Amino acid sequence: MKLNKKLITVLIGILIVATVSISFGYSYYSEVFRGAYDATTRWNSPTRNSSGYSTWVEINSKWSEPRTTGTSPHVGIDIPLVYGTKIYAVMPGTVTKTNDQYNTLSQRYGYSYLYCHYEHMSSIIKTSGYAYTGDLLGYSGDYGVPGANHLHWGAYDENGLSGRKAYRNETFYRNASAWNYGRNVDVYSQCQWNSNTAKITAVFSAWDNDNDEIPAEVRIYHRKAGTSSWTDGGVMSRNGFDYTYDFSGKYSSGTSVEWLVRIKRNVGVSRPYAWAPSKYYNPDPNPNATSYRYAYFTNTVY
Amino acid sequence: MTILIIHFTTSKWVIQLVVFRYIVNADCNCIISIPLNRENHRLLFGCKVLLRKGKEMKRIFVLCMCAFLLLSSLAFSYSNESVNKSWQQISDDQYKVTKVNKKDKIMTRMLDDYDIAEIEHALIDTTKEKVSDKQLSKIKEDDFIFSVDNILQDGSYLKEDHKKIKDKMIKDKTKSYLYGSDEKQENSFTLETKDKNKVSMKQYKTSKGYVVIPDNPNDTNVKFNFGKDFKKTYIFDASGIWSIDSDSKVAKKISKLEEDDYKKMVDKSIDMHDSNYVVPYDAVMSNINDSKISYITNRNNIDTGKTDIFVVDPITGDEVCITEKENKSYYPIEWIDESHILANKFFSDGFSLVIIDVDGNEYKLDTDSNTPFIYSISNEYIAYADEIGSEVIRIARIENNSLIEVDQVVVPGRTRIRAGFNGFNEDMTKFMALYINPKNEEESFIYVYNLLDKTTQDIKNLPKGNDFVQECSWFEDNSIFMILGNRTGKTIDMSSWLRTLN
Repeated sequence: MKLNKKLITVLIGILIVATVSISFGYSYYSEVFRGAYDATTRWNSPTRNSSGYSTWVEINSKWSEPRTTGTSPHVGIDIPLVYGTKIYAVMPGTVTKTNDQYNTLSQRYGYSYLYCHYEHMSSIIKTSGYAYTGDLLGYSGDYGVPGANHLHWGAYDENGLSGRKAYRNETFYRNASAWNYGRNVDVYSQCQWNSNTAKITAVFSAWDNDNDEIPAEVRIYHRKAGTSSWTDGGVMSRNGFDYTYDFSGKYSSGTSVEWLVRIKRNVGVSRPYAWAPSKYYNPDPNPNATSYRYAYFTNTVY
Repeated sequence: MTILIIHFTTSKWVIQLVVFRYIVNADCNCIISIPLNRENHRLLFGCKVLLRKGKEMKRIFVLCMCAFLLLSSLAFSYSNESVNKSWQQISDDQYKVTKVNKKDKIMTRMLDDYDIAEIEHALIDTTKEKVSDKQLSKIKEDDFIFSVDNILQDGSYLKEDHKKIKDKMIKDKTKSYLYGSDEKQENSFTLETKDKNKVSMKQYKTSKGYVVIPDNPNDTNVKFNFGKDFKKTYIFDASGIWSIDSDSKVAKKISKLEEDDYKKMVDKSIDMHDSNYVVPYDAVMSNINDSKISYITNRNNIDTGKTDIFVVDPITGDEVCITEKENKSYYPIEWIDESHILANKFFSDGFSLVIIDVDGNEYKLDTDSNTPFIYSISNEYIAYADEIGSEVIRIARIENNSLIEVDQVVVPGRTRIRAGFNGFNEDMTKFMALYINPKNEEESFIYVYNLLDKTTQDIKNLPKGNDFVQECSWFEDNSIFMILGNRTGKTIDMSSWLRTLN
């Protein structure tokens, strides 16, 4: 009887530990990214100057950026801020303090599944209720990341950290010229299809946060819709931060093609790859090497 | 609704006509009392005599009624006019005001939702065939299939040069101008802070000289702040601080940090934290005569992230750290005179208000809480609350490095805090606060407190019944500039208004 009780206690303990680890950690192929929420919702900068104008601070870690600590690729945006900088709401919505290890404030947009998470604030001033764009929410800090004063924020589909998936952020900032119309917030942006040519803009944040770190390589994979194996299309042609690949002559007219892009970082990161579209935490560099389904764009060749 | 009351007080030998006008959805109660003059006293006396005579009674009655109708119509038109005069719509769009001096304001138009809709519409390539509904529904249903960014939700394509078109349209829509000026009194120029950071600036000629502000101050890639009386504009980023002289447009680099030193700091930050968290310059502000400027930085404490305040001589660039004595982070609020800065000092459980002089001497201001929040500051006066959002706002004077409370304002709801908000008007006769309607937290109104006669004005009856105040700032000493929001379903229409106070 006593032995059974001990056994049950141990099992419950293991279960709790396992649940906690699953909640706060990511295993390989954890699905952590989603696509765009929509292309019409606008966000503002989370910081302002003393005259009340938006300030567009340099970003030191972009959404989907491979890195050596934390989630990699990064499931949010980081801006370095001195301790005590005032943080303002980037959109209108109801705020909730989630009481987690990063002192996260979550703001919900209407009744949608769009939440903005503001993390690491030293002090949250508006812990509940409705906040308009530009309302003061709290002060920046290094909560959960000692010494690294910054604001992590981004668009998610859940109120809390557990199980959340991150939406692309550049769509919210497509009217902010100071952030290059959204290019500064996400590793890849402006994915386009024009005249049988796939085009993508890809750039990393860079050591001085100037958003000019050219990828070591941008490689395209493609296949005919309905097939399973990805063809390595080679490195895309580069013009500035824009990369293109011409599908003309590779498939017959009317063929529906699927394509995805691998963007390699130019600094010492053990897994230096970001995928466009992004889907997983720390994905394999070869989409054919795993049975996991990678996300892709689809278009028709004419 | 209008109520008329005619009050005959014959015992006092006056006829008093009281017109009481109550208008639903207006915050104005207007009572006009018109006592008749000596002539009319005689008339009334005469009436009494005539009344005695009985025969003339009808004539007198008709005369009185005519007089009453004439006076009441005059009173009504006066009353109506005063209500209309108190609200003036500036624009259907939302503007942000930069008050340069008592007379001059620079208005910057902000993008609205309908602007975005208009821009998006202009970007559609109508010559291209839309993506089929079948393809669109396939993308919509499968979480692993993504649409490219130049295909809209209805399947139409964007024009290939859509970024250029958008850029131009946004620039056209967010133009600034000098309020009340008919002629073009602006002069655009570009400033380079470093090779890749070009800043578009504009010089305006105001009644008190030139001012320089970024071309679109709400969307510029450097941080900026204005010197006192707008004689200088400071711009700053990771590469340094520049002071731009408003008259000559000449930019001078004030900061001295060498790029190699900055690189070493960044390397250290990347080693310790995996990213560049170095903020070499932030929150630049000048003292009351531009003879000193201050900034904050974390560059000397990459490991802990502690923030320090530096004071710089803008002519020589010589600087001194005034907060190195204690291992706490500071954030400056405002210079209160030539040599003292009011600042927040942060602790693990809150923050305090301190005054620090240019020699690094620190004076703690005694407050009742460990989260004192400053709403407004004007010369030696501050408005603060024990906690942010509190209904009770204390007005205090800073004297000999201590706080002396001089007044208290109790606002009808919790206050909303907006960046750049200053509740004091320029002549320090009034204080206003933006408060949340306790019955509907999505609505905000304005409460004005007269610092001289202690009267209050609750501005909650706005031009349209379901309007709310999104943003407000003093326009003149007796008028408030507001951005009003009007919610229709999911969308909020914004418009800019001026409200003259009673």
